[in-house]
Amino acid sequence: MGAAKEDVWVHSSCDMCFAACGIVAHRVDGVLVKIEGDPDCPASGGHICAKGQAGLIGVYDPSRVKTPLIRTNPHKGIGVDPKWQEISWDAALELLISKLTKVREKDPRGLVISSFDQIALSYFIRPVWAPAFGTPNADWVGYYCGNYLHASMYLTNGSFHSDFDLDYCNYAILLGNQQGFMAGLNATVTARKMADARRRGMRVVVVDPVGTNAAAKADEWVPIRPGTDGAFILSLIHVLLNELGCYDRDFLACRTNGPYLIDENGAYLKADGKPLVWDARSGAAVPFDRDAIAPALEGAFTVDGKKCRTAFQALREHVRQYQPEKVAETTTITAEAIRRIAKEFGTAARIGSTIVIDGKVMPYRPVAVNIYRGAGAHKHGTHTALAVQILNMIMGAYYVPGGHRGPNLVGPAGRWGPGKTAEGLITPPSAVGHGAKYYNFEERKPDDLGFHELFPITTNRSPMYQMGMSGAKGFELPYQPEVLIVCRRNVMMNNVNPELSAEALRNIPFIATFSTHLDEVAEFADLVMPEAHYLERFDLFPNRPSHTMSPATGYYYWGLRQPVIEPEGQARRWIDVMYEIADRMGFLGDVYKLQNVTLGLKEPYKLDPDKRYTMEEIYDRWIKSVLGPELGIAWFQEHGYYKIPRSPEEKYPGPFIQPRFPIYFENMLKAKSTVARVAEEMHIDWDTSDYQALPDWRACEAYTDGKGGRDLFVVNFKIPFHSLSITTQNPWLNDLAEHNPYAYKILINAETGRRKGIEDGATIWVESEAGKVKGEAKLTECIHPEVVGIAGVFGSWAAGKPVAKGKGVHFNSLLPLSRERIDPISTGVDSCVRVKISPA
Amino acid sequence: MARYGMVIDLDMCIGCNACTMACKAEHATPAGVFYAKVLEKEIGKFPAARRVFLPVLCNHCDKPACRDVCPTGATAKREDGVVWVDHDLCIGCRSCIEACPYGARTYYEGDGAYFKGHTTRFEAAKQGGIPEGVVMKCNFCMHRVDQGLDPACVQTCPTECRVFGDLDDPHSRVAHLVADKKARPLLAEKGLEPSVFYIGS
Amino acid sequence: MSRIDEFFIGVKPQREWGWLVITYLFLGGAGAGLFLVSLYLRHGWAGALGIALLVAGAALLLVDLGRPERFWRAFFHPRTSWISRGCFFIAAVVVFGGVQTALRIMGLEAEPGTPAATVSVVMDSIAGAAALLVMIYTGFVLAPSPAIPFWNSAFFPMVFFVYSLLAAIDILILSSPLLPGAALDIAWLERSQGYLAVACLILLLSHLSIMSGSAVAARASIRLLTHGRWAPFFLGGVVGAGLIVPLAFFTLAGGSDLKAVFAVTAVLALLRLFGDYLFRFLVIRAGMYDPLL
Ligand SMILES: Nc1nc2c(c(=O)[nH]1)N[C@H]1C(S)=C(S)[C@@H](COP(=O)(O)OP(=O)(O)OC[C@H]3O[C@@H](n4cnc5c(=O)[nH]c(N)nc54)[C@H](O)[C@@H]3O)O[C@H]1N2
Ligand SMILES: Nc1nc2c(c(=O)[nH]1)N[C@H]1C(S)=C(S)[C@@H](COP(=O)(O)OP(=O)(O)OC[C@H]3O[C@@H](n4cnc5c(=O)[nH]c(N)nc54)[C@H](O)[C@@H]3O)O[C@H]1N2
Ligand code: SF4
Ligand code: SF4
Ligand code: SF4
Ligand code: SF4
Ligand code: SF4
Ligand SMILES: [Mo]
Repeated sequence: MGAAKEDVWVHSSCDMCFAACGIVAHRVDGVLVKIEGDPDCPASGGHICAKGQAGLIGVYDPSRVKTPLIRTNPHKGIGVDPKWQEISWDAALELLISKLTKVREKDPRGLVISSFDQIALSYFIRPVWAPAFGTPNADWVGYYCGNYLHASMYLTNGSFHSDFDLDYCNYAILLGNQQGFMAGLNATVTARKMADARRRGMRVVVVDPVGTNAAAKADEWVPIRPGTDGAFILSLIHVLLNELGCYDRDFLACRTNGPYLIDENGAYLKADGKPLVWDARSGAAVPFDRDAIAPALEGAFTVDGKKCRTAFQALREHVRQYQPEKVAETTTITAEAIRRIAKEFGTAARIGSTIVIDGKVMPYRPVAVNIYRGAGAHKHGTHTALAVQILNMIMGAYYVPGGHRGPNLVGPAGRWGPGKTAEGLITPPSAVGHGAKYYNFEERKPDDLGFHELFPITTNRSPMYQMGMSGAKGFELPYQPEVLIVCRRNVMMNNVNPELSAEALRNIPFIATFSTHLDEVAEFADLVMPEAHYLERFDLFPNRPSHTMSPATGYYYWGLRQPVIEPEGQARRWIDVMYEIADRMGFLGDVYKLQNVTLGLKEPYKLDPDKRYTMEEIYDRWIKSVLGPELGIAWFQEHGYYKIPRSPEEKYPGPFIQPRFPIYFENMLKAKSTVARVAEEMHIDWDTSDYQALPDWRACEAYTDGKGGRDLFVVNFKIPFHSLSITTQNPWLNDLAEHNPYAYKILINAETGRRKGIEDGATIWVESEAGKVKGEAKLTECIHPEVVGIAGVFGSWAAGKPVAKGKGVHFNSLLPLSRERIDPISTGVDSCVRVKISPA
Repeated sequence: MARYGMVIDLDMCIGCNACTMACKAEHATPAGVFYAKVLEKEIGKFPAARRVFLPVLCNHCDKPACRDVCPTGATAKREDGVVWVDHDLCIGCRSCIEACPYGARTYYEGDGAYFKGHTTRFEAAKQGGIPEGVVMKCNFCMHRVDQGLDPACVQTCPTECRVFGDLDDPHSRVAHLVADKKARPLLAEKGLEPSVFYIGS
Repeated sequence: MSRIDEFFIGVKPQREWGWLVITYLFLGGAGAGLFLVSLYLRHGWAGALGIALLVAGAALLLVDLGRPERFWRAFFHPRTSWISRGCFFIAAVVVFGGVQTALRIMGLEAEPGTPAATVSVVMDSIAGAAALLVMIYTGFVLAPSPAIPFWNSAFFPMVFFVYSLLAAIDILILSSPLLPGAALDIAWLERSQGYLAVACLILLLSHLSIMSGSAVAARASIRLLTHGRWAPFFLGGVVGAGLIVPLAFFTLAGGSDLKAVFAVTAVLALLRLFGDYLFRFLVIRAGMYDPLL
């Protein structure tokens, strides 16, 4: 190479997973030659993962979609060639607009939007474009993700994701997740902080059926039988409360609803709307928020002749049924181990201790249990997730140094913060809450594909979309889904058995996708439009400061994603296209009006409904409204990151906020009756037994059925160098996965394999009630003997993804979808499935 | 004169393979060629079993067997200890591969484009210098190191468990880590005196 | 069994050197050996045949290179590289030996005592020495390899020398009916084979016994040859057919006139050649790297 004419490094953000780490892209003479972590990005700190490093080769993928395409083969099916024909953007938009106009006239709710493009979805589509169009059905997002968890987080502490303080934590239990091991939330920050914490000597206990990367580095790997985490956690709670008497009385008495008095039906005792507590000082029941009282945490009392006890008392008695000996049989974790871990956890919590940070004295509770997909992704997963939060709360390890916390409960300088119910309980900040209503429910027949009223205690109801569209009995709607727009969602690969998903898609007359590749969804599309690759496009604040921005960096930070090279072909950013559509259809003004509210645009930056703005102009006004006039797009393009340091109160808001965290969920009782009545109106018989004030462990279907020789469980896990299905077409990551001993294989415990006469490397079938998959067996010591492990979202079949096609094993083919197979509270898909394995 | 070396903390390595990919991006290595790898093995029996991650690269041995057997001088050792292959001199006899106990070298037969039958602009720009039929390996990112930068794999490592520096400079971190006895090379008994050391397990 | 290029830690077989290199080891050794014998027998045509085989072998080496057109660079590092040295040895045999052989065939032997004769003696000695080195240097290529313990043995140069000689003489025996020039004393040749075979056997077994006490990878190699997939070839082919059977016959047949029958001698020679080639093949293919952890 001679002397380069151009040689620049451009600030931007990675998009190989939603952590959106800051990157700097090296461009020489128009060619992208390297991507590195942006040292100025609080998240990546200059270090990016394998996927981030490999991102650049993807932008040059010759199989990317370059022009709009229209189907010429009317027959739709898996593996059926749509016989694409190139058309112009104009023709494409005319077609799409004509379809959209028709539904909008007939019934706008007939438009369904599916996307896991976090930025577009949460800033522009869900809260703005969709309502302006008139459809509530814009939330068909990823599932068997955090559904179970998000609900429990919103309910117990008002935050969206689950995280914990790696700066001070000394004892962490990772329950079915790999936070800190290049999976999980904000993967690079947590990986770095996790390493630092382990250097300090933090103990990590990984509870997981699979010997994952996390388990490999853990101080202790506790293999557990899938779907039994609830029992394990409730047993830990029992040992701590009833055997060791180890719990944070002050925190429980003053910062939770533990002292609230409940009657024999479990309902709060109230005086003019306010729950009562027993004041030890006056020996009487008084409103919980009365000053200078000594609320009793434990005990049974009689108030105006009514028998009652404290919520915490109820919890203590409730968990007695989870004796370690009994739980050991359920979980395959020995009673000794359960007692030991409980003791270690309780001791490490140092209840009563305080720490001074930047002159602020705060409780010091260096322990946390973290839950994410694995343990949650089961029927009754919400119960498990709530039990986990209770365990953190009885230690007082809640939004204090060393303990559990969600990302961003409070914003910089009080820009956002949690709300409070009349009962003094916490609700999500509106910036975060995603419209979550956990205390007041509507008793009407649902009219959205998420069937909201039937699932009042959750935000993500994606699986219901699929049931609704498949016309499941009792889930009919007053209108038909007529048009589906998909961007960055692989509803075929990432959900359940593809045949089931195909059925849902076939019921939709017109499907348009914005795609980088002709993936498994595009295969069912009528119209495909080329989306700009993340290295070719503009996105503002991709790190989503309210939702996913890591609390671990000591900063609030705002980043941007900007084009680092010219777009391939005619690729465009779908947000821009959707806004152009709104304009051509004449409702862009309404979009702007809503946008002014949702983005919090201030004068003079508010959008004038009668004017037209480029997206860049909108982004610039957004920046100025949020961060002040001296900043703007140009500033971000040059500097990449804007940071505001977090004060101790903002890092650890627990002791500084008003609302209490519930350990007892009285609202569930109300939800129960509401749901029962909604079900009545829908004429379906519906099991409401999961709506109870205290969590339990209940066996999911798979736990009890071993029919047809299906004697094993199958579980799925993420690997550090692939994310979901989006990285599978990346040839570098594929090359790596092909060399990796586990990535593309079917993991079987060596002993189990021997027993079944299956040799390492043999080709085998894995068969569930929903489907069967073939692959190479990997005999390993690092997996539970009752479990078959399949990694990632592999086994693509789309011709448009030649690199990914046929690589690895497709887990989701084994997943059924039915009323019996979802978590009745969160709608989370039950990923706990029985399989039988046999030589192929 | 400096003697460059690396220390990798196995306790902190999480097997994420960021190093593997950073190296691939930095050197545009052809399909199937990896200078940096993360090898794995399992120790113990269930449930007391564990996977072990071992990030490997060329050890830039002080007594490089690969260099000694090389008939052409294509493999050479710089004064700063960097052992590298001059692709323009290599005849592809592969004796060096037979001589290296560490599997650090790969013979590149050609056809290394990542998208079958298509050379990307990236590959065209960066693989131009790679002839077919030669042996390739880690060169300690000489071009970066000569500019005072860390090697690409070190730069990106999310857990910061790879440290690069001058073993001859008593004040360098690598020197310190090697000084306190815990650091050890792979297959020390082979007597090649690697410049890459490991701590932890 | 997982792919060998998989990123796992364990004993791994060498895969770089295949049949081209192996066949060179065989032809090169035999050719050089034959040339050496030809000097002893002062047999021009035998020498020519030897050189031809050596050149053929070298040609295969060339084909094996990733960059044949750059072969000349291989002469650049005789200071450290046995491969480089080998290039010079081969060249010496071909050049000096070539000239001498040509003269001999044309019957242009110099009058004893003349300066021409002295020159010819010097050329012969150079060529002879080079031939000897060609026979053994490949042993020195393998022996010092720190990577493949199975090869770390001072026996290799010796084994290679003896095997080369063995092969050389077998080829001479087989080609004798067609070979122009003075007739050969087959019986004498056959007798010498007996002693060489015994030598081979002893060297082989001692190598194995030493290796079986050595590094992990070496033991793996031996397992492969004595119990594994290749046991039949090694025990049956190399040891049995290649050495024991001819030896047995050689001793049992005693003074019987069977030995006078050329066909029989030829069969024995073929068996030995087969064993020799197989030996070189297995030695290279059984090479394994030690696990890194
Ligand atoms: N590298 C990488 N990082 C990612 C992603 C990715 O795809 N790749 N995806 C991102 C997304 S969208 C999300 S939601 C997060 C998810 O982050 P995590 O929740 O940490 O995801 P996993 O690594 O799949 O963790 C699930 C673990 O649970 C285990 N498991 C399965 N069933 C059970 C069970 O019944 N009980 C218990 N105790 N464990 C069980 C699995 O073996 C697996 O190890 O990661 C994010 N980060
Ligand atoms: N087997 C298995 N299934 C899973 C999971 C798992 O770990 N294993 N994880 C679950 C979780 S946690 C989640 S959140 C869901 C996620 O579910 P999805 O969001 O549906 O999964 P992705 O794989 O991210 O699908 C992204 C799709 O967008 C396309 N795409 C990639 N980049 C771009 C782009 O820049 N623009 C556009 N327009 N399209 C793009 C890809 O081709 C891919 O088809 O999956 C769930 N399902
Ligand atoms: S963690 Fe996600 S965003 Fe960060 S570098 Fe890796 S893939 Fe990119
Ligand atoms: S980047 Fe660091 S942590 Fe990741 S595999 Fe490589 S050495 Fe290990
Ligand atoms: S590791 Fe191998 S290639 Fe690297 S210097 Fe040592 S011997 Fe040579
Ligand atoms: S392959 Fe190239 S580098 Fe290796 S020994 Fe032969 S010439 Fe030297
Ligand atoms: S030092 Fe450079 S060349 Fe060597 S492995 Fe690391 S990145 Fe690759
Ligand atoms: Mo997710």
